[in-house]
Amino acid sequence: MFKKILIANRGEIALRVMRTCREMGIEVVAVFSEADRTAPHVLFADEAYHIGPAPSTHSYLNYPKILEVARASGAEAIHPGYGFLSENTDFASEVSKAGIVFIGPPASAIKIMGDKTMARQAMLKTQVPVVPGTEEPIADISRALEVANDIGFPVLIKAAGGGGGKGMRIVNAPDEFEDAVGKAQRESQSAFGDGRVYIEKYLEEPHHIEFQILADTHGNTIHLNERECSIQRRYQKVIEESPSPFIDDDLRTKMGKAAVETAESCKYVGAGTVEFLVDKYRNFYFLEMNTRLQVEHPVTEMVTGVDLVAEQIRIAAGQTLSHKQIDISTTGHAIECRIYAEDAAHDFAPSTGEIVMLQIPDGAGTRFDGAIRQGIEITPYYDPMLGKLICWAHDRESALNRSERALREFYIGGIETTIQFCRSVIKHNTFREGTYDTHFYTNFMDELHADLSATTEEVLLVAGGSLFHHQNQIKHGSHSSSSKKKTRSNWVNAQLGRNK
Amino acid sequence: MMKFEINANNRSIEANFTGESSELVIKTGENELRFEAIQVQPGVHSVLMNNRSFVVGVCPNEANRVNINGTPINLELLDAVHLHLRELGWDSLKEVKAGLISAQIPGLVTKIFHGAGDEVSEGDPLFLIEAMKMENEIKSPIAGTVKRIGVTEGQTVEKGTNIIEIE
Repeated sequence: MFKKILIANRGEIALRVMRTCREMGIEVVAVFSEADRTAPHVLFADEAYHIGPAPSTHSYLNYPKILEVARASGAEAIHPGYGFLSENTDFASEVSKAGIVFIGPPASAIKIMGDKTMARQAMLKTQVPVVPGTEEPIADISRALEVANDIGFPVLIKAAGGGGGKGMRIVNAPDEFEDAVGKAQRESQSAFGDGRVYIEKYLEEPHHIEFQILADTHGNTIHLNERECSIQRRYQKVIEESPSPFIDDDLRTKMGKAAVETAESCKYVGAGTVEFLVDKYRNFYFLEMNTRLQVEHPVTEMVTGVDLVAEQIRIAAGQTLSHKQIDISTTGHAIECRIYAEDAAHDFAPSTGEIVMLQIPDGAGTRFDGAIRQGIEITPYYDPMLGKLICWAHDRESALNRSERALREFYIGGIETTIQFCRSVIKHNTFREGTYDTHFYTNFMDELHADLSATTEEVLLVAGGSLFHHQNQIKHGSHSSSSKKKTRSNWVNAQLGRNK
Repeated sequence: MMKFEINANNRSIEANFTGESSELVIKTGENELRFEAIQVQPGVHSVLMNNRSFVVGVCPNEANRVNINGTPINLELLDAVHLHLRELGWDSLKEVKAGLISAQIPGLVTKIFHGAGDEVSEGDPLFLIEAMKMENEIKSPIAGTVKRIGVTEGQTVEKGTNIIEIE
C-alpha cells in the first residue's frame, strides 16, 4: 500500500479524499493556490505546497508544477478528485510516465468516454442501448421522415451547430415533421450560422439515473446500484438519492448489467459512473460515462457501506476489489443536498464573501462533506459548491424528514446559499411522492420560489423584534463582533470616473 | 412604546414594541407577545416569543436580513419617523439611485459596452462581470445617458462597487 498520496484538488473533495487516506494510515500532501493558504484542505494535510496564483489555470490545472511537487514530496500516487485534472488524458499519462500512480482509469478509457461521439460509437458495438437517432445531420427530408418513423414519434430535432434549446423542436406526429424540420433549420441557421439538424428519439418524462461501478486491474467489474439525479437546474444536479424511487429490481438488474458492460467495453479501471436516461415507459439509454469519482458518491457509500475512495486507492495499489457483485446489498435510503454559494431567488447567481456565521447540522444519520468554517472567504475563483449534506435513514420517508430537519439546522450567514432552496424541494409533494423527472425544476419553479418567500405573521414579528434588538445592540456598542464599517467610497477610482 | 411597521415577502404588519430591546412586549392587533432575545454566539440569538423558541441569525454585514430557524428573510423595519415621512409623501428614504449600477457580485469586469455620454435604453447591456467561471451580463434598469464609469475593463471589483451611473 502507498505511504504517501498527493491530492491534486481543493475544497470538499480534497478533504473527503484526505480523510480516507488518514484512516488508511497514508500520509497526505496538499497543493494550494495563493487564495487557499488557509483553506481547510491545507490545514488537514500532513504536507502542503504552494503551486501558484489564485486562478486555477495557474494553480490547480498547472500539472507540471503539481508533478514537480509530487516528486519533491515523495508521493507515490496522485488522487485528482473531480473537476480540474480528473479527466485530463495528458495529465493521466504524464503522471504514469513520471513513475507515479494515477488514482483513476487509464488514459485510454478517459479518452473514449470523454468524447460523446466516440463514446456513442463504442456503445453501438455493445448490447447497451443508446438513444436512437441519426448519426449524420439531415440532408434529405423524405429520408429523414423514414428515419423518424423507424425511431418512432415523438422525435426531437436538434441543431448540429449549438445548444441551449435553439433550433430544437419536439415533433409528435409525422404530418408535423416537414414543417418542424424547416423551422428548426432556419432557427439554427440564424442562431449558429449552421442549418444542419439531427433527429433523436424524444424521451418523455426522462429520469437521469446513474450507476456506480468499480473495476480492478484483475478483470473484476461490479456495480453498486444507482443514484437518481433528476433534480437539476441548468443541467446541474442539486439533489441526488439512492435508491431511485422510480426503478424496480428488475430494471435495476438490467441497468446494472449494462453499466458493467459499458465499463468493460473501454477496459475501465477504478471508480466510474455510467449515466442513463430512463423514459416514462422505463426504457433506458446510455448517456455518458464519467471517468472519475462523482460529487454525489456519498449517497452510494451511505446505502452500500462501501468507502469508494478507499476502493479507488486499493485498486490503484493493484489489489483486487474488496467485494464481489453478490456481496453488494443496500440498506435504507440516502439523500444528498448540494449546498452552493448561490442566490436561488436571483437565478442562482454566484454569491461570494465571508462566511460570518456557521452552524453545521449534526445528529443521527447526518453527514456533511464540506470544506468551510466561520471566517473563511468564498472567492470568485473556484466552483461555488460549499459542501454536501447527506442524510441516511431506514426508509425514504424518514430520510426526507431527516433531510428537512438537518436543513433547518443549517445556517450559513454572510453569503447566499441554496440551503433554503433544497428545503423547498424536499418539502414539495411531487418530490416526496417520488414521481419527479428531470423537468421537475422547470415545471415547479414558481411553486418552489413562492415557498422560499412564504412567511407567517409570527415569523415576521420575530424578525422585526430581532432586527430591533440587533440595531439597539449596535447603537449601544454592545455587539460583540462590531460591524466592519466601510469608510471608503463605492467608486473604486473617483478620478477615473470623471475622466472617462 | 414605539410603533413599527414590519414588511417582508409582500406581507406587512404593524406592531408596538415596549421595553428593553432584549425583553420586549410586542402588541399587534389584539395580541400581546412576550419577546426575549439572548445572544448565544456572535450574531446568533435565541429568541423566545411566548415561549416559542427560534434561532435567529443576524449578520453584521447584512443590515436588513435575518435568518429564522434556517430561513433567510429580507425585511424592512420602519419606525415612527419613517412612517411619518411616508405619510408626508417622502418615500425616498432608500438611498439607492435608480441609475446607479453597482456590482451585485464580486468578480472581474470583462467588458464595458459604453462610454460616458452614450445614450442607453432600458434593458441595454451595460457590462459583463465574470465570477465563479460564469459570465453575467448586467443590463440597464433605465433609459438615459451614461454619466460616469467607475472601472476599466479587466478590473477586479468587490460587491457594491459602483460601475456605471446613468442619468
